[in-house]
Amino acid sequence: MVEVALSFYGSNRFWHVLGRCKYRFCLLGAATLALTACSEGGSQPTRNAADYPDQFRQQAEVIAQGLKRLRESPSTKDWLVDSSTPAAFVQPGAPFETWLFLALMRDQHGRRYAMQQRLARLKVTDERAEAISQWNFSDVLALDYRLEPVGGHSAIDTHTVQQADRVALSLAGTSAAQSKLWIGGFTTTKTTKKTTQRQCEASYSIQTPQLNLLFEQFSCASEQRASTILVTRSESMRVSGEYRFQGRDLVLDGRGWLERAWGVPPDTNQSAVVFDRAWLWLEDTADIQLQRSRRRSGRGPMISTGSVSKPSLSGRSDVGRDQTAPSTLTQVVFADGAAQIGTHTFPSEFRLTEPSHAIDVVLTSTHTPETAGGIELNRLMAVAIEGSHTGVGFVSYAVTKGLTSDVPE
Amino acid sequence: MKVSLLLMFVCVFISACQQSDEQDLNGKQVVVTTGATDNAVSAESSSLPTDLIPASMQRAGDAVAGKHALINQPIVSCGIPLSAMKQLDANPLYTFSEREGEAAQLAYNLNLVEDEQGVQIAASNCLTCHAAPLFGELVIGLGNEFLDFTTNASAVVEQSGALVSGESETQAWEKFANRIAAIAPYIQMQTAGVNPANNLTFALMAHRDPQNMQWHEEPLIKPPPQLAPPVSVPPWWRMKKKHAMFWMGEGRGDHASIMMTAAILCADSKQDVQKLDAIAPDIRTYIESIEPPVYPFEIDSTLAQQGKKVFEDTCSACHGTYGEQVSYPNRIVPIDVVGTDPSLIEFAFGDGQAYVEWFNQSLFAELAQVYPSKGYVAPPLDGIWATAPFLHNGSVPTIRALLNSPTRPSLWRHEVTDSASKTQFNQSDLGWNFIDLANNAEASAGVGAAWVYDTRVKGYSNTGHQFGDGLSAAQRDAVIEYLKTL
Ligand code: HEC
Ligand code: HEC
Repeated sequence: MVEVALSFYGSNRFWHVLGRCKYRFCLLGAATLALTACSEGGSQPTRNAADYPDQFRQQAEVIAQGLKRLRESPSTKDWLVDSSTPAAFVQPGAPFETWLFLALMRDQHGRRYAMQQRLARLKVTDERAEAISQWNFSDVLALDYRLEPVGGHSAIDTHTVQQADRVALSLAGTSAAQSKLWIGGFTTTKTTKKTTQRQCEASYSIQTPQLNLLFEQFSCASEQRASTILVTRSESMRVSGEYRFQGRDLVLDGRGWLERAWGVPPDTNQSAVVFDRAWLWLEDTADIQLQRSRRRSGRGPMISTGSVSKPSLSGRSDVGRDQTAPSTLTQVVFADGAAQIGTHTFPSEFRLTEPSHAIDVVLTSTHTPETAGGIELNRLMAVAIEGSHTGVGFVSYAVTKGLTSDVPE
Repeated sequence: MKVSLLLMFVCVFISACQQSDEQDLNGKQVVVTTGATDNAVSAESSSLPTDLIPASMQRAGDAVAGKHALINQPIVSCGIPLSAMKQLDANPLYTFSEREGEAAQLAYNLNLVEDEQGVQIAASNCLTCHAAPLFGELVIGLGNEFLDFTTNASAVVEQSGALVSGESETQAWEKFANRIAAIAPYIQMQTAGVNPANNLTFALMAHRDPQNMQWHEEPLIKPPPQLAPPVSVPPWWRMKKKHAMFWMGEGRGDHASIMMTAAILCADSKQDVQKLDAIAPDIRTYIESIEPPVYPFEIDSTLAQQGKKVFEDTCSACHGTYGEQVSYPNRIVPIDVVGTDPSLIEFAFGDGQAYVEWFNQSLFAELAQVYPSKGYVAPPLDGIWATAPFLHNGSVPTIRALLNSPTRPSLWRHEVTDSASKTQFNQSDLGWNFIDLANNAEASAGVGAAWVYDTRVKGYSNTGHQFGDGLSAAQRDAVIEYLKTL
C-alpha cells in the first residue's frame, strides 16, 4: 500500500547542509521529499539562503529543479518495475532514493543507545547543473546521522553529522558493483549471502569514524508501492558492533531496521493525513513496528496499526533464523502524551497500549526544548520505554502545527 | 396426500424417515422423500407454503440510459479526490472505453464526480459489489464474492488521505472519510468474500432523518450490531424474474426506489435523493436487461437432459423452470423449511424493525415498502454456475456440496481471492477451489486467515437446504450438469 510511501521520514536537518528555508527549494524539499521543513519556528536560528555560500545555493536550486522535473513528468513506471529486485542496492535508473537505518542498542553495561542514519541520492543531471556548477555533477548524496544515549546516561555525547556532496568529485559515491555508498568518512556496504538457501538474507555494515555496526537481515523486506514510489521495509534485524572514541570502548548489541525507497515521493506537505511511526525494542520480549494515521485538521479518527515479532529465545541478540514471523497487533492504541515540545508543535511523550499482548508503556523522547532544534516536518526521535516493558525505540512524529507555509514562486 | 413441507424436512433430517414411504407425524399424513423422482414438492406443489410474492408496478426506464447513468452519474456523491485515486490505482485493470476524458482511465467501479468546489472525485458506484472479473473479463451484474471486508474500512480511507492535498481536496476527502469512519465499525466482516451491505445501509439509516435525509453525527436510532451478518451478493440478472429484492424478499413495490438506498452514503438532502430518483428507473431497467454469462466449458448434453427431469421433479416448485417453458414462482420458503442460517430473519424481526420502520417512513417509501418475511426467497438459478459460494451467506463453496449437505465443509478456505483463473474453477462441483480445513488443519499455505470461512460463527452457519440430499449420486451429477446450462 501507499502508506509507507507517504510516511516518508525526514528532517530538515537533512537538507540544512544545502541551505535552510526561506528558499525555493524548500518548498519542493518539504513538499516532495518530506525530508525538509522549511518553516520557521523552534529554537534553532534560521538563516537566510543569502547567508549561504553561492555554491550551495546554486546546488540547492539545481536539486529543486531536479525534484520539480521529477514530479512534473515522472517517468518512473518502467524503472519502478525494473528496480524492484531486492538484491539491488544502488538503483542505477532511479533519480531519487533513500536508505534509512535505525538501530536500538545496549552496551556491555546495559546502557541504551539509538542510532539513525539516513542517506539519500538524487540525480540532478540537466543542462542547468552543468551550467551552474564549476564541477559538473550528476548526483548528490546526502547523509544525516545521529548517535545518542537514551535513558539519561552520558556514556557518550550525542553525535550528529549532516553532510551532502556531489558524487562527481568522489567525495561521495555509489557503487552498484560493490553495493556500497559512501560520503566523507561514512560508508555503508551491503553483503548478500548468496550461499544460503533462503532469499533476502543480507547484512549491512555501517562504518563511521567512531562506530561500526553490522545489521543482519534474515527475512525478506516487505515491498509497498504507490504509483511513483516503491518502499521496502525490513523486519527487525539483529545489530551488533562497537563504538570507539576517546578511550571509550563500547560493545553494542540490539535491533535495527532498514527502510529503502526510490521513486518520486508524493507531496505530503499539505496532505489531509499524516503518519506517525514507531520502531520499538522491548528488550528480550518483542520488536514492534507501529504506524498511526492522523488528520492534519486534528479531527477524525487516529488509527494505529502495527506488528510484533517475538524473539524465539530470551537473551539479547536472538533475532535470527528462528525468529517468529511478525504478527499483527489487533488492539494497539498509540496516543500522544500531554508533554509538548516547541510551543505545542509536537509531543515529547507517548503512550502505547496493546491489551492482547499485555503491553502498556510510556515512550519518552530524548528531545528537550533545548535540544529540539527547529521545526521539522517529520521529527524522528529516540525514546526511552518504561512501563509493562522497558526498552528503547524511535518515534517519527509528523509535525503539523507551527509550520508556516513558505511557498515561493 | 396433503403434505406439510415443514414436517417433511424435519423428517429428512432423521435418517429413519428415508426408509418409509409414509408415516404419520402429529396426526398429519406425510409423504417422505425417498428419491428425487418421487418428490412431494412437485407432486404436491399446491400444498407448498403459499407465500408467493406478487408482482408490483415498476416505473418504466431506458436500459441504455441506465447503463450510462450507472457508470457516469454521481451515484455516490463523495469519495477520494481523483488526484489521490490516480496515485493509488494508476493502472486499473478494467475500465470503460465508452467513458470520456479522465473517467475513461478510472476503474470500472469508480465514477468521476465533481463536488460544489469543483473538486474531481472518484466515487464508487454499484459495480464495486455488483460486477466481477470472471476468467479475465468483467461481468457486470455478477456479485463480487471476493471483496475483503475483514479490515477496518476507515483505516484504508484515512491512509488515502495522505495523498490528498490542499484545502478543497481535503474538504471533499474529509466528508467521505467522516462517513466511512461513522460506519466502519458496522461493516467489518469475519471472513473475506462475504458482504456487509445490509449493515452498511442500516448504519447510514441510523444517522439520517428518514424524511429529509439530514445527517446527524449521533445516531438517531440504535445502530446495527457490530458483528455484521454475512451476505452473498446476488447476481443482478435475477431481477428479470424477481418480484421482490433481497434474500428475504423484503424489497417490495418499486424496485428503483429501493435500489437507491444503496447510494445514500453522502445523499444529505431531499434534492440529493430526487437526483438519484431521476435516474433510478433507467438503472433498474438496465439491471433487468442483463443476461447471465454462458458456461464456458463443455457440457454433457445427454446428462444435462437427464438432469433437467430430476430438477423439474425436485427443484422446480421452488426455483422454477428454464428453457422453453420458463416459469418462476417467486416463492418465499419459510425458515423452518429451508433451514438455512436464520440470523438475517431474526434481526429483521428483532432490532432490525427500526430499519424497516425507517424505510417505510422515508422518502423512498412513496412507491416502495420494506416487508421482510420469515423465510428466504428461492432464487432463479440462471447463471448459477458463476456465483459461488452459495446460500445467502455464501457458506457453501460448491453446488455439489450444497446438494449433499453432509459433505459441506464446516471450516474451509478459499484457494483464490478472485474469479480470474479458469484452472481454479472446479467444473465437476461448480465452485471455486477451496481447502477443507477440517480434514487438513495444517493447510496454511496460500491465502491467509482472512479467507477462512468458519461456519460455527453466528450468521455463518451452513445448515439447511437439504433438498438435494435425497438424490442418488447419478441424479446429483445430472442435476449439476443441467445447472450448467442455465
Ligand atoms: C457494498 C456492496 C454493494 C453495493 C455498493 C451495492 N450493492 Fe446491491 N446488493 C448488495 C448485497 C450484499 C445485496 C443482497 C442483500 C440482501 O439480499 O440482503 C444486494 C442486492 C441488490 C439488489 C437485489 C438483488 C436480488 O436478487 O434481490 C439490487 C437490485 C441491487 N443490490 C442494486 C444495487 C444498486 C443499483 C446499487 C448502486 C446504487 C447497489 N446495489 C450497490 C451489495 C451491494
Ligand atoms: C422448498 C423449496 C426449495 C427446493 C425444493 C429447492 N430449493 Fe434451492 N433454494 C431454496 C431457497 C429458499 C434458497 C435460498 C436459501 C438461502 O440462501 O438461505 C435456495 C438456494 C439454492 C441455491 C443457491 C443459490 C445461491 O445463489 O446461493 C441453489 C444452487 C439451489 N437452491 C439449487 C437447488 C436445487 C438444485 C434443488 C433441487 C435439488 C433445490 N435447490 C431445491 C429453496 C428450495
